[in-house]
Amino acid sequence: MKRKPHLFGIRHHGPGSAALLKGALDVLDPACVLIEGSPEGDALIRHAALPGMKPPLAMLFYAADEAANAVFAPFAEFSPEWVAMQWALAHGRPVRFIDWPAAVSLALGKAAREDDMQPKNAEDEEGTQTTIPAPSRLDPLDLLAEAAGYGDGETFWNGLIEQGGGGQSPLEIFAAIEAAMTEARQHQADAGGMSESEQLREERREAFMRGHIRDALKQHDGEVAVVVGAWHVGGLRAETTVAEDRSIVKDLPKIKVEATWAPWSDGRLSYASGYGAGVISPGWYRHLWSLYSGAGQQGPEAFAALWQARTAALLRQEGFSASTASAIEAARLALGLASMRDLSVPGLAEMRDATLSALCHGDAAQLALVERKLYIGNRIGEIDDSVPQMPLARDFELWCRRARIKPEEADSQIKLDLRSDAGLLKSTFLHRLNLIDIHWGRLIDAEAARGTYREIWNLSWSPEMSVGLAEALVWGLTIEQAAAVATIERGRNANGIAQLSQLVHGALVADLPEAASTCIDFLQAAAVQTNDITDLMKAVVPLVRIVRYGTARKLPEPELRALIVALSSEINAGVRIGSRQLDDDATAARVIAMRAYDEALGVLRDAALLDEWRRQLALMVDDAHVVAPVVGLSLRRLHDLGLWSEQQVSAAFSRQIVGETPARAGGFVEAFIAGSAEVLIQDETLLFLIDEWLCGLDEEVFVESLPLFRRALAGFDSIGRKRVMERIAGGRRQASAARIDETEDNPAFERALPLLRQILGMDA
Amino acid sequence: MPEAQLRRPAEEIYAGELAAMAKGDDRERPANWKLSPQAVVTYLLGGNASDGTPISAKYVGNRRLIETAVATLATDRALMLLGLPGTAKSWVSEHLAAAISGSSQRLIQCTAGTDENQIRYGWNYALLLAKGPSREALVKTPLVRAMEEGTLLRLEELTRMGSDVQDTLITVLSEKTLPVPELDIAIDATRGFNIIATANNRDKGVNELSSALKRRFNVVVLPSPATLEEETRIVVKRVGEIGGNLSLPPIQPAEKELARVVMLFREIRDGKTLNGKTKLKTSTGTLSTAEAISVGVSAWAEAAHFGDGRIDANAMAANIVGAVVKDPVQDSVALSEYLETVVRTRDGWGDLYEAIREVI
Repeated sequence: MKRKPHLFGIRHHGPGSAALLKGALDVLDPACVLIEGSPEGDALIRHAALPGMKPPLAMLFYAADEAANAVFAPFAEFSPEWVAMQWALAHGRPVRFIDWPAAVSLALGKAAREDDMQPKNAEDEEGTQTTIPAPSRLDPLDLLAEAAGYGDGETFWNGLIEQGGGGQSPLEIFAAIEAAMTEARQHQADAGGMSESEQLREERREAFMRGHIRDALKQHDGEVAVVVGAWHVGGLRAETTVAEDRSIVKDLPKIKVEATWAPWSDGRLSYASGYGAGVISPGWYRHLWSLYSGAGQQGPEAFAALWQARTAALLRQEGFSASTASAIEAARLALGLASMRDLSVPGLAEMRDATLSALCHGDAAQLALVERKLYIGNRIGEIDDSVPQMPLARDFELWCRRARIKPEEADSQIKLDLRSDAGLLKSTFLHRLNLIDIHWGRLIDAEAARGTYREIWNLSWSPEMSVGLAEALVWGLTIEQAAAVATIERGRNANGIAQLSQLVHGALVADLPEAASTCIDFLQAAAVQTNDITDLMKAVVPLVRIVRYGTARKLPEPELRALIVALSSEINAGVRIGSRQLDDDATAARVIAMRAYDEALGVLRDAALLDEWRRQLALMVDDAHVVAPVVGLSLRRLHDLGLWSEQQVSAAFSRQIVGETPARAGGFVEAFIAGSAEVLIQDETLLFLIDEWLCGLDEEVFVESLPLFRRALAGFDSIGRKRVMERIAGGRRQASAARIDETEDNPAFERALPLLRQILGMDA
Repeated sequence: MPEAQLRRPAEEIYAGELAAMAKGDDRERPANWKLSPQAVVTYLLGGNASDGTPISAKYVGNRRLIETAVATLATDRALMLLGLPGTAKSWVSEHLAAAISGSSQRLIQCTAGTDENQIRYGWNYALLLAKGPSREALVKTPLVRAMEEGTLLRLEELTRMGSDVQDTLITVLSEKTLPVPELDIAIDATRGFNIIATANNRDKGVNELSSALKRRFNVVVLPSPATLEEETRIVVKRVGEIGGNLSLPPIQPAEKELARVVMLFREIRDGKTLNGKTKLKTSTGTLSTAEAISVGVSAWAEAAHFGDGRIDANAMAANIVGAVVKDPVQDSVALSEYLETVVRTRDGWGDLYEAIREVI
């Protein structure tokens, strides 16, 4: 008689079916265990038994030439696949994966994506980053459970296990599942439930599986256990010949695939995963599994109590007064509800109702605060040290240990003091990761960029970042090397001074001096060639910041300074000519960049540069070809710095407006009085300069100038405008009053003055 | 004479249903319960008794809420029904007591004037003076009687009672006993004793529950009906029942009119139209389901006695205005705005527009 394999149709990540499977394996005692999954993972299975392996974990399959083309096969401790692996390893039986190779699925996925991309644009390029090519088909067992009147799939399984306790062997239950699923599958086929491509995909996968099963039956004399999603059971029983199966799977494309273990997380488990069947509530399933697997030998009472105690603890963390007594009452209520609903053990619905009523005083908002932590959890898996990992992943772990931070999925915030070694180490690590596109931490404190000694990071790890580590392999084998190479690579391809300057900054804060030096060289070379003054100005600003305030890191300061001087000289030399004939957008960008550059030069305090810059400002004011806003800003700076006398400014102001086109005059005035109304209110010279000029106009010119003034003042808010109005109405009287205060003799103030001036940058 | 009685308690009205449920109920019952927990749930939510007697639905809404409430009582925990006015708190409490203890009459109406003597026990002063403190001189409150007999006690509007008086209940709830220090005895609760309290979580002038008392209750929040259809169904059903009870002259069914009232109330209550496109002012009135019901009943009375025996827009208008406009200035504005932006433009609401405009 022809031997048949034992097919165990399971619910992916279902603790109920995992428990049932364990029982069935114990009874059957198979000679060989076959599991749905890509055979490239076979070599990884033996690691599953190592003590340091803590699920949730995933097998990561990625294309050797393109790590972004990847697929994960996640396991929780309550996944039947994991349980099957553990059983086989503990009993010393051979265990293998029998699904189609990832080499094929990734190749097909890639081909399908390329097909998709051609007609459409790059719009969904991002969506394909973490490839999970799986049909979003509902778990058929869930449908079956629904038909049987259970709220969710797990309650249904719970019922099945109860039957097991009532004398039915797990093998019989699996036989019943097989019958039901074969029927359900027939139904769906009749109804045309699957698209053609889905159908083809399933056929190919099952052909591979049948092939593997045939081989196993040939190799082993004893029973062969096959653990697959319940859906496939019907397909695997189908009577096909070797030749038929071969013809289905021949000529499929293949690519070279690498496989490795990667940490997975509760949060990701709860989404649809590579199996096409997501776990809804890992936190709850884990709790169920503790019941089924007999850890602690708990009965329903302890089961309910533990869950409610955990809920109460989480509620207390959120600041609610969830007492132990209330947790006990919640557990009692959950048990009461369960018995009313004829369940031997409370399900998630009963637990939730009980929590809401006894622990949260009926307030659903309280429960909502802890629901994510409770139902989903925030565990991240760990991998045993002896498991060979991608070199970068290994280095990543070393860094984590050294810097004492642990990947966590929940958002958290850390504040670093860069003067301490520990703080600096963490900061360097996070900066380096950002350079290789692993955005675990995001720097949120804007002040930190100004080189103070504090950094605030928002941390949020996501398991896909493992893919990022695989991708970064092209750059190097350690985080440091990869970050440096990635930076230099980008610098080589950078198009634009500003980008290069950012790279220099990035390399410096990530403590990559060599990469920084290389980028500085790139920057210098690019600066000579460029004639975009705005870009140069933007480049100078962050560099000055680094040199002036330091970054608590070792800096190649002479080189940086030399670079700044070189860039600034370029700017000073080219700014006047470069400020002619700019269009509106370019002008707006220029004015902003110029203001920042001017400020930066003041901070840098290089006398020669500063003198030259100021000379250029004066020249620009008198250059009729320079665009008006730049002239306005130049004149304003000359006035602010007190370089020009009142008469000089007044004369230049008049020159720029009278007889000019409204557009030019308007642009000039706007840039000249830019800022807030406060400037006009405080700077009386400026105010009365404008005032006097206005009063001196004859009527015709005055009327002509009105619209442009209106436009220039439109940027102020209404309160500011009103105060300016009051100030003008008040005449010069107030001004003299203010003067008296200033001259009042106060020795303490006198002593503090030099420091104040330095802080405010006024002595420059 | 039951006919003269204005309103009969639930256990009398539904005596037939309760008897039918009890007859076929072979599930396990907690001590002193007339029905099993499952049967209580069926009695409230409707269904069929085992002998096929149809059981009417007393509560329309989420089954799980009622199950939680019954399970709470079955596990000897006090039950607190919380909700906005008109969400059927007292109604559910009455039917729970009727189904579980066979009587909904053990009731204390809590007010700001309720003192400890009305909760615990009082003294018959004549006897007290004549014979000194004795059991006979004790005046038993509904609480004491419920404890002795092992039945449910209903506390209506618990939070309206002063906090210090509320806390009298703490020992009763946790130790299930009521000490009488004057006699050096304690009144112990018989099995089956429990408390159902109702409270409203929106009103002003209520006293917060102390946290010690709060955690002795399991709380079930009864929500406002989730959908327009559900609320309309409740209103139509209750208007029919109350009107029948009041022996109002029968009139033509007015489901369409009632549906309009419910919609109008919901929209003003939520501050937006049902399609969510227009924002509206809200009124100070709660505009609960209960008020929609009372609008329906008044309109019925008006139509039957003074109108042409048909509830129409005119019969509704004055009652609607009365329910919406609680604050003469603010609410008039809200209603006028609603009238102009919504009622006027809505198809088939022209008669209601005219009628309400005439009233305000």
